[in-house]
Amino acid sequence: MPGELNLQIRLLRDAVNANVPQQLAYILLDANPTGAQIQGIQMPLNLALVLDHSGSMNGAKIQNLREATKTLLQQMQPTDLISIITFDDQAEVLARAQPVQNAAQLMQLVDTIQDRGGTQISLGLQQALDQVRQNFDPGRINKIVLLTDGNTWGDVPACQALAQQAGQQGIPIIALGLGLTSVAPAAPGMPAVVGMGDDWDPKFLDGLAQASGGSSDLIDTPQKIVSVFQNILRTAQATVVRNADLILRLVQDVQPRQVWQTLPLISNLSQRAIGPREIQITLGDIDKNMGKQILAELILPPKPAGKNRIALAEITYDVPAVGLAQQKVRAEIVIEYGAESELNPQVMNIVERVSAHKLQTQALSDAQAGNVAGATQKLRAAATRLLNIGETQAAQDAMQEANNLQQQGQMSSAGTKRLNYNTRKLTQPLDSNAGGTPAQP
Amino acid sequence: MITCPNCHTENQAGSAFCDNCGFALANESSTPQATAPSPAAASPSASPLRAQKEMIKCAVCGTENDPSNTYCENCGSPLTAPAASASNSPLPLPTPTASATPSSPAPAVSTPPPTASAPAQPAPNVNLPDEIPASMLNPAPPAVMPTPVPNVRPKIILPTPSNQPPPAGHPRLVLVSSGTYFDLDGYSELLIGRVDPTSDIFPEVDLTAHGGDEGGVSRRHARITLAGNQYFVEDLDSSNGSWLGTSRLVAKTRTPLNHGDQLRLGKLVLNFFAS
Repeated sequence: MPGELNLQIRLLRDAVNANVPQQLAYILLDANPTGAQIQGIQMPLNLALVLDHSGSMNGAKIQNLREATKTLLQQMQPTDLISIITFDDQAEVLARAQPVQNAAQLMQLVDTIQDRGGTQISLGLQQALDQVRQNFDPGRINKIVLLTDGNTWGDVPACQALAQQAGQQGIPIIALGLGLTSVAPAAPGMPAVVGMGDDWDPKFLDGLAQASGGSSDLIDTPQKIVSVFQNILRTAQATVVRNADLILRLVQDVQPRQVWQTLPLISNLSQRAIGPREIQITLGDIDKNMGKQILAELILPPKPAGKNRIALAEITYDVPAVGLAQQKVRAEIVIEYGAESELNPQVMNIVERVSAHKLQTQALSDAQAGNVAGATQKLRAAATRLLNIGETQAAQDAMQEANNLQQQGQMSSAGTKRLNYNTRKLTQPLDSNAGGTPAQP
Repeated sequence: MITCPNCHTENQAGSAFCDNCGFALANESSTPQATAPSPAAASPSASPLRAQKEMIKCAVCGTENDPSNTYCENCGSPLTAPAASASNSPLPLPTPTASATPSSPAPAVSTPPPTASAPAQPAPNVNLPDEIPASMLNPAPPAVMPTPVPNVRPKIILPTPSNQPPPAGHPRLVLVSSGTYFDLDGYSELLIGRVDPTSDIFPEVDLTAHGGDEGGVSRRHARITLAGNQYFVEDLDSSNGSWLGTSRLVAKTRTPLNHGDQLRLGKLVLNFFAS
């Protein structure tokens, strides 16, 4: 039935110059669940929480974690399924998969969580996977939420293998890294300092997210755990459209150059998505709070004046809550050749954010490769872009890191982590805290 | 291709930001190179096919299309009675050939010919007095100069330098050496100088393209402000100084600027008119 997913197309310029040998066009596609049927749906969940309670979690971290978990339980529906697993160098199933019918009882269990021991994530993950699999239901939002502040010890391959399994079984992992005061990167020739502070590794958590089709995020202070959990819950409940696939069929001589997801988070999809005459993107789950937004850069061939179609966009999707599968929505993308029109300010804003993202991402990789000058220059350029779109805080952060780089030859480790994750959220409204980097399946 | 003015990397025409350094390119004009307009105007022989309610054959690439399509599935060209190609050569009157007409809609308005070519060039054989300087026989100077808006949000409009005087009543600066007008209407404060994106300097009146560099104009050379009904000018501690009439301006000191005053920045002379 048409109408559950709204597909809106906007162009940076509705009209471009005619007879130009080659020029770039920017297309913004918005996919948003819509309609009366959709409004009323709240998806039932099948969640597993995998919580690190190793010794480093002591104090504010473990306290806030307990409180955030209890709040989550209170907000869930009696028909939702929850399991809680805690781990250090062993794993314990604190609460087996069950409906959230007696929240008070579950909350009491949560209060027993104490900090102690080392960190072995794979054990916790294994238990979580078992719990979620028991009640796996395509009609539910099946997910694992993992929270850790440190680095897992000696079992990285095991974790990755489990994440892959989870992906194959349709159980995404949301991997949350707690804390910013991590270890400074090793000075050249010196051994890295380990075992102190919040030394969780963004690359490792990103890897789990990618392999399982989930996402990864930074929680910079323990006080923010509760709002991050809230957001995960709200997003999961609002995930009404599933298994969405987008195909952009390009007309002859239109070449794809880059493709980005821009909402809920910015990520570059170009590598996997681009084919010779089409762009194929697995959108996956689309929640009604944020929807999904894609920015495509296409190189247009010269044409004389007149309107021309440049692509046809089509999304196939399911709405399991109302028993719909393989629904389609399509939209033609037409541009006018003639005299160049004005820039669409909203599309320009997104393009500018992606530009800031590119600069920051490149700066991070330059810094890591030791190219201090390149990284500094890019961070400054990113700051200019960010100021231009009114993101003063983000601009300041970028400038700060540029200065750190210039003065000390490296970025602060907290700054690196913050930059890494905030760069992905440049398209979000402030304080929205939506859940982390999407993985590209 | 557009060359980034900041880092000189080549970018695809139409790019909004430089791939290398992120500089905003969106307002850099990329001069469209006029190629010979391809014959996209479909011959009327396409129409008989449509009348039979069968697949429509695209006149450009020949692909068969479903009759409900507006545009060709393969190449994207319009399938309905196509607009005639707007040629880039400003023909005054399109001469209709036998085949071109009835079903086609009115030909698309061709881009208005650049103002420069409007005045007729005097034919060399006309009786002209010998003393007429060569410059008068040449075509009018190029039309509107590109707007100097390097790194600013697209919505901001800067005083566009032009060879035509701004509407009557608008305050303006006139660069004496070239006769270029800068319309100052709507500004209560503006900078005069030379653009430097790396140092984040974007004067509203940018003299770079008008001999500013050679003429010793600093990047932040002078500032004109409007307080109530009175204009003021102030030298911003420029390297080569500013003069109002014959007096040199003391740096950072606002001095009243009146209608008809002559301003010299370095070696460049500008006349100011308040209305």
